[in-house]
Parts: sequence; structure tokens; C-alpha cells
Amino acid sequence: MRRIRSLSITIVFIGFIFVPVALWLVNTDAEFSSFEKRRLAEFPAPGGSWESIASFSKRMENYYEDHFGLRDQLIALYSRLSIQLFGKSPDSAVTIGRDKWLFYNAGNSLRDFMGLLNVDVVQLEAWHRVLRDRQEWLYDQGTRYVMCIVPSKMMIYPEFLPARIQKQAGTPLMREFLTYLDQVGFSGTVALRPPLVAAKDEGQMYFRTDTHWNTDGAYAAYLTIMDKIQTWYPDVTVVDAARRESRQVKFTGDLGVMLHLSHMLNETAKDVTITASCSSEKPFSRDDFIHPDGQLAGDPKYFPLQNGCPDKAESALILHDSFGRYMTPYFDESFQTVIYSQHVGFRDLKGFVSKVRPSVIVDQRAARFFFRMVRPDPEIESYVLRKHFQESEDVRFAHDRDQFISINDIILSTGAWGILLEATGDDPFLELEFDHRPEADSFIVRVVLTSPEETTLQFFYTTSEDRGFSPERVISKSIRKGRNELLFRLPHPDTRGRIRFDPGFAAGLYVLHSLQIKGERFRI
Amino acid sequence: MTFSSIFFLFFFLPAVLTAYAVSGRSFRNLTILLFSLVFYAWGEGIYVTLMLASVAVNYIFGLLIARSVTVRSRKVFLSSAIMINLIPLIYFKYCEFFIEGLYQVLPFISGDNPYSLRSLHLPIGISFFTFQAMSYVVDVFRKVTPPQKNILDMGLYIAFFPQLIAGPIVRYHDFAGQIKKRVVSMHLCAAGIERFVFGLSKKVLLANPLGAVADSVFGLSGDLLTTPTAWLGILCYTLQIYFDFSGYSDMAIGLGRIFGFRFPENFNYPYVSRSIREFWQRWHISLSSWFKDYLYIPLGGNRLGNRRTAENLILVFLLCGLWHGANWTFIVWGGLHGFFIVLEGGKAGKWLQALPRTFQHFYTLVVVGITWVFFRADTLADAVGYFRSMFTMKFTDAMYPLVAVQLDAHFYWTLLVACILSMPVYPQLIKAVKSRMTSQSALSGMLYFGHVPVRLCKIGGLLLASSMSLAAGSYNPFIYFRF
Repeated sequence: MRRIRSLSITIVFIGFIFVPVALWLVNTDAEFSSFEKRRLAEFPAPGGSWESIASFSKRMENYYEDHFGLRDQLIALYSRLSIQLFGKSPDSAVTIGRDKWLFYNAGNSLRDFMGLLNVDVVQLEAWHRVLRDRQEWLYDQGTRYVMCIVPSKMMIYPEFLPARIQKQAGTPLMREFLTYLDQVGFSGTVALRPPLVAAKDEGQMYFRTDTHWNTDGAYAAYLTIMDKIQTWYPDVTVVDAARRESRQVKFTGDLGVMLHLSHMLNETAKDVTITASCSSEKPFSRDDFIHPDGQLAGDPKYFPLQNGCPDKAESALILHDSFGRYMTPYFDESFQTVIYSQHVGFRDLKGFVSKVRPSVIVDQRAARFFFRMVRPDPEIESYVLRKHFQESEDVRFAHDRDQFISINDIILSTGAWGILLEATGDDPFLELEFDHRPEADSFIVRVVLTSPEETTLQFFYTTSEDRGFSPERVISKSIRKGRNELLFRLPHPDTRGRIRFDPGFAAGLYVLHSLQIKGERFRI
Repeated sequence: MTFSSIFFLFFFLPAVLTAYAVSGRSFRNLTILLFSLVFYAWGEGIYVTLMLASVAVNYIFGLLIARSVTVRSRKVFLSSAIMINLIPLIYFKYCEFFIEGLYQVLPFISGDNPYSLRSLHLPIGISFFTFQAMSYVVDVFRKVTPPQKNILDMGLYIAFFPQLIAGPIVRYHDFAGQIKKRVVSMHLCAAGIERFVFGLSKKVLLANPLGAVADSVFGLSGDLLTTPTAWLGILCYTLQIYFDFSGYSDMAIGLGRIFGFRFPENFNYPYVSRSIREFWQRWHISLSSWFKDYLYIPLGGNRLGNRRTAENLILVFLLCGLWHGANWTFIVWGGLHGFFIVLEGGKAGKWLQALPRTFQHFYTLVVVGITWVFFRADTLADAVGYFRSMFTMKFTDAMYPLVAVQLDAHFYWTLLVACILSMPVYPQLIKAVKSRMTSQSALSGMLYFGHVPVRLCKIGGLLLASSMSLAAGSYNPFIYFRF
């Protein structure tokens, strides 16, 4: 009996460890993994360089881990057992909730749901100003701008999350930002969460096994966006619910595939077609994407697509991500021309926008990617700042040396070209009283300064809560030797009290040709 | 390359077993030596030469010591061998620590440390193979064993891959005989396989999931760490370090058996100890016995009075702490263990023995658990911050969300199984089954014939579960295509 036991244990073990290597030897290496959506590691080439030799073992291990025999079977079995025994996702990027609802929680999604992504009011204000400037720049060209952030599935269906996650719910950054935009009166936003939550009573808005909303969720969002657009263009029509003809199809979402369990984690979903559709694709010409400088706007394979109904009014540019794809059949029916850009962002399409001048731009992003839509655009910011500074008559600080209340390491005098600042120590600065009256939305500073060296100009400011100067409340601008003209906003919405102006770290003679602060009012 | 990796399990191990099986009796040692060198070079590259140098140096000094006639020359050769062994260990492991310490202690040295060795690579297993090598020259000096005349056999003793990077620390006199003559049998091989699979499962199925929670907790800053979270973190770490280390020792012992070698036991359910002294008779036994035989006893042991015994113990444990890592946290950890052992040697030990057994267990677990904080923390300040959270009764805030979400059913099951298996429940169960099997009853017949498939299922199941977990670790999916 002992012999049988020893023999059987040895056979099982030897068989188990030899099968993967034997299968690896006889099988051809796969190049891609459709489950993992990535290129698998290639057999490492043993190069002649020292780095190549030194890294060979690591590369070989990476390669082997991607190609050993029974890999797919072991992973699939692990996934299945993990779910069936413990109700636990085998992949940390996916959470399995009640009734096998799958949630994507990588890329800060979970932290966001828990309200752990905190930003301060300066950051919220900075994002707001990016949107505000973009809105105005477009408005001046005759284009309306509407921004919408698609809430994650966790925000719409928290009740399906595991209890231990559900009770950790906090305020997501997206909600915090939208609340802030509401407070400051930004009109270019469409909040999608309330209509999606309200529509849950009528049907499922998101796929159970996918990160995205389904066609019903997309339709609810489309209606909300169109509501907004109709306030500007009342003639634009929406697709009536009666025109949506649906059939049931079997569907496995991206999260089911990610868990390597397409056969186990699938669902029945609606496939919707629009009856009596009038839309048709319109090809673009390559010339449409050439900037005035002759450069192409991005990679041709990612160029936008064009569609629409000839008998409709108005045109739209839809900047979107994968969520936006579910809305395209509806937008197609609502505009004469509708252009979709999934991969080329707003900054790269500015030239195109100026040329095409669509009636409206819909800027849509998933909540976890909303940072991408609020990246600053210096060109647009400069355009708006110059315009507002010129137009504003609300002067809060005039170029007047008598208004400086404190001077350090500087000998002050007046010359023909402006106020002369001779920096004598290593901490030269001037302080001034700042007139904060609530009539302005924001404050623009214009500095024209001739510097003796390449250095950094700094602007310290105080707020109602923080009356002392600190490194956290400073604007730093690099300046070159010679004349510099700077135009910028005070970043904190509640700047008040004093301002400290440090012309630079270099000793020598600075000429302050102009220092003005003006109140700014948002136009739209 | 670690034993708990896909590459080792499904590539290196089949390769070395195949080569060992076909090499025949005459070449089997050479085969293991070559694979051991490949094993070390695979992860450490050029540092394999350091190990080869250690082999050569200790081989030569072993012969020199044995051939010396006078005691004085033997002592000179022994001292030289020990110093030469310690030079690379000190250089690679402790140099930066000592230099930084000098900068902090000596007030006349100021400014940036110009001798910063932060980029210095620490060759893996250097502490283990250095201690093994030193035990060899000391044993030759003490005439416990004759010197090794075959440098390849000497190489096999130092470089043998199963115990190379994490022990157990094997004594030369235990190993020497097995190099020349050992039995490679089916039974021993099966026993080795069983032990290896147990070790692999301990590491992959218990230590890794518990370690993930421990890492999350120890990664929290003091303001986010509540008292229950801190205690949960230390509980997880206490179990993680045991299953990680004892799992690795089991794998080493198992692999040794597969090749016909018998290694000493390294762990014996340390968490059931009733004193810190007993804990060290059950925890990392090969290291504690090394320190006892090669440091504590030569220092005088307990033969020179109570005060000197206490000093010896404290010194040995401070060095034992330092052996684990070049950081004040390890020194404090070792010092605390030494302190409690000294305490137990006095009146406090007698009081402890008079207390109920439950209290003795509780005392040991609390001391061991609390001192693990020093072992796990990156700095003494971190450890102090952690203690603050453990003992200042911060119950007001909820558990930090990113830790709370890790506490799923899988975690609780793992914790429960780990708690049970940290006690000698399994050996007791086997013992009970065996005693039943020897009786003349229908049940004994069932057990006799049934235990083979049960055991096979157990080994196969654990191997499958561990492999699945390792394979899942290589799975790296993306939500969007990355072609």
C-alpha cells in the first residue's frame, strides 16, 4: 500500500509539472491574447549587449509565464472557482457584486466611488475656467458647447455592489465638480446621473457584465443632452422612443471577457435599430484635417467620422469615448451633419472646428477620464484673458507706487519707462492691498516687467481663510531676461487681503512697466 | 527565481529532475551543482562569482586548517576564513547602514554622505550561504568533521539550490555524508513531493493573500490607521511571515528529499509556544541553533553566572536581529526577544510558569506579535507610529475604505484556515487516523484503503489550487486593446 501511495503521488506530481512544459514545446506560441486584450511576450532574443544578457532571465520568465501549457485552462478554472466558492473576482480590476453584476474598479474608479480623490477649490476653479474659456472661445465662433460626464456603473447601481463596498460610498469627484460648476453658474454642463437613476425604474441602463451603459442608458443620456441643445436650437428634433425597435441578443461584456469567463458571465441585451432612418455616412476629405501650418491633425486612422440626415437642421461635433458609440444612432437622426471624434481630442481639432464651425459641440467622457476634457489650453486661455482684460473697466489695482504697503530688499524709484525696482537682497518683494469686492467673478493680473536675468516671478496671495503668505498660495511664472508681458488669473476664487509681488530671485534692476489687476465677469 | 513561480515549477524543476534522472549515479552531484549555479545566476547574474569565490576560499581554508599542526596556525587560518567570509556580507549588507550610522553619531562629520552605497545590490541568500560556509570552517577547526577534499562537493554544500536562498541553514557535518552516500527512493521522493506541495500551498494560498492585507494596513499613514485596523494588520502579518517562511522551508526540505537529502526541520508550530524561549526552539530552528553553537556557547553560554548569561543572550539576539536586515528595526526586534528571554530566565520566568497555560500562550503571542511590528516597519518612527495606533484606542473612525474592501469571504476563510493550521491540528489529525488504522475494525479497513486516494486528492488539489493561483498572477488583462 505504501508503494502504491508513493508511486501515485510521484506520478501525479511529475505529470502535473511536466505537462505545461511539454505543451509549450509542442504548441505554437500565440501572438495575442483576446481575453487580456494585449500582445503576449515574445521569446527573448539573446542580444550581444550586457544589458540584453542581464535582462534575459527576466524576459524569459515573462515570456514563459505568457506561454506555458494549460495557462488558459488554469486561469479559467481559477476564475470560476474564485467566483463560485467565494463570490470573489479573480482579477483585482473587477468587482463582482450581487446577482453577478460586474464593476470595473481599476484606474481610481473605486477610490473615486469612496470619495478618496480629493481636490481643493483652486483645482476645481482651474478646471472650471478651462471649460469656461473653451465655451467662450467657441461661442465667439458661433458654436455652442455642452459637456457631459458619464457616471460609472457604481454611481448608478451601487445597490448591486458588495455590501462591504457599498457602505464605503463617498462623494465622487465628478459629483463634487458638477456641484461646483452649478454653484459658479456654469451653463455648459449636462448632469447625466439624475436622468439615468430616474430611468432605472423603466429598465436596465447599464450592462451587467460590461463597463458601459446599454442602448437604453445611452438613449436616456441622449434625451438629456438634446434637451440642453434644444434650448439653443429649438428646431433640432429628437428620436422618438417609438422609433426604437429592439430585439434580444446574447451578450458578454468586456468585464466578463476580462475575467476569462465569457461562457459563464453573459446576459441578454437589447439590440436597437431606428426605424425609418434618414441617416447616411458622409466621407471626409483629407484636406479637412490640415491645419493652417500644413500639418495633419493627428493620425489619419483616428480621423473623425461623419453622418447625418440631409433634411435636418444644424450640425454637431461629438467628442466622445466608448460610451458615446451607443448614442451615435440617435445623434445621426437629429442633425444635418454630425461628426464623431473618439480618438482626436478638442485641442487637436481646434483648427478643424474653426473651419467647420459646427452649431454645437458635445464633449462626452466617462467619469474616470474626465480629467482629459479639462486639460488647459494656453492658446484659448490667452485669447479669453486678453479680451476680458481689455474689456474690463473694473480696476482693482492700478499701476501706482503709492499703493505698495510694504517693501523688502528693494530700492524703489520712478523712471521714464516705469517704476524702477532695484533688488538689493535675496528676498526682494512688494506688498499691496487688494481690493476684493464681490462684483467680479475672477481677477486678471497683467504684469509688464523688464528683468535683468532669467528668473522666476512670484505672486503670493491671501484668502479669507488663510491670511498669511505661504508656499501653497503662490503663482510662479518663469521670465526671461529683458521685457516680459504676463497675463494670468488669480487662481483662488476667494482671494482677498494682501498680495505679495516678488519680481525675481536675481539681484539687479527690474523695471515694472505695468502692474494692473482687474475684475473679470464671465460673459456666458 | 523563487520556488513559488511559474517558471520554477513548470520549467526549471522539470528540467533539473529530468537531468538528475538521466545523469546516473556518478554525475548526479555534478548535475545538481550545475543547475544550482544556473538557479543562482538566473536571478543574481554576475554575483554567482561571489558564491563561487566563497566555495573556493572555504575549500582552501578547510584544507589549511586541517593540515596545520599547531593550534596557533589553526586559529590564524580560522580567523582569516571567518573574516574573509564576513567581508562580502558586511560590504553588501551592512556597509551603508554603518556609514549612515556614523554620520548620525559623530557630530564632526557633517554634510551629505559621500560614501552612499544606496545603489549597491544585495546578493540574495548571502546571509545563508555565508553562515553555512562559516559553520564548515569552524567544524573543521573543531575537528567535528574532516575537510572536504573535492571542491565540487564543497560547491554542492554551499550552492545546493533548495536551501540556497532562504535556508534551512544546513551544517556541513549533516550534509557531507549525504553528498557521497544517499538513498534516492520512491518513498523519500513522494514524501519530498508532499512536503514541497504543502510548502507551496502555504506560501501561495495563505501567506500571499494575508500579506496583501498586511501590506495595505502597514502602508497606511498614522492618521488613517485605527486601533482595530492596526491589530488586524499585525495579525495578518504574524500569520503571513510564518506561512511564508515555513512554507519556503517546507519547499526546501521537500526538494532536498526528492534528491535524496535530508535537511533539518526549521519550524515546529512556533505560535503554540508558552514562552519566548520556547518560541526560539520552534522558530527558524536552524538559525537559532547556529547562533547557539557558534556564538552563544563560545561566548561562555550560561556557564559564567547570571549576569554574563544575560549579556550573552542580549548580544546574540541583537546580532540575530541584525542578521535579518541592516536596519535599527531588526536590531530592536532582536534586542526585545533577547530581553524577554533574559526576563524568563529570572524570577519572571518562574511566575510565568506558575500561571495557567492559556495565559502563557497569550503572553507569548502578544510579545511575538508586538515585536513583529518592528520587524515589518521600515523605520523605528514608523513602528512607534504603528504602536500609537495599536494602543491609543482609536475607534472613532471607520476602517480605511481601501482596507475594508479587501475583507471579503476569501480573506476570512484564509484567515480562519491560517489560524487553524498555525496550530498542530493537522499532525494530531493524522496521528488520530493512523491510530484508528491499526485497530481491527471496519473503519480501520476503510481508512487503510481510503487514505491513498484521499491523500492523492489532497496533494493534487493543493498543487492544482497553487498552480491556478500562480497562473492567475500571470494574467494581465486590459479593458481596452493594447495591440
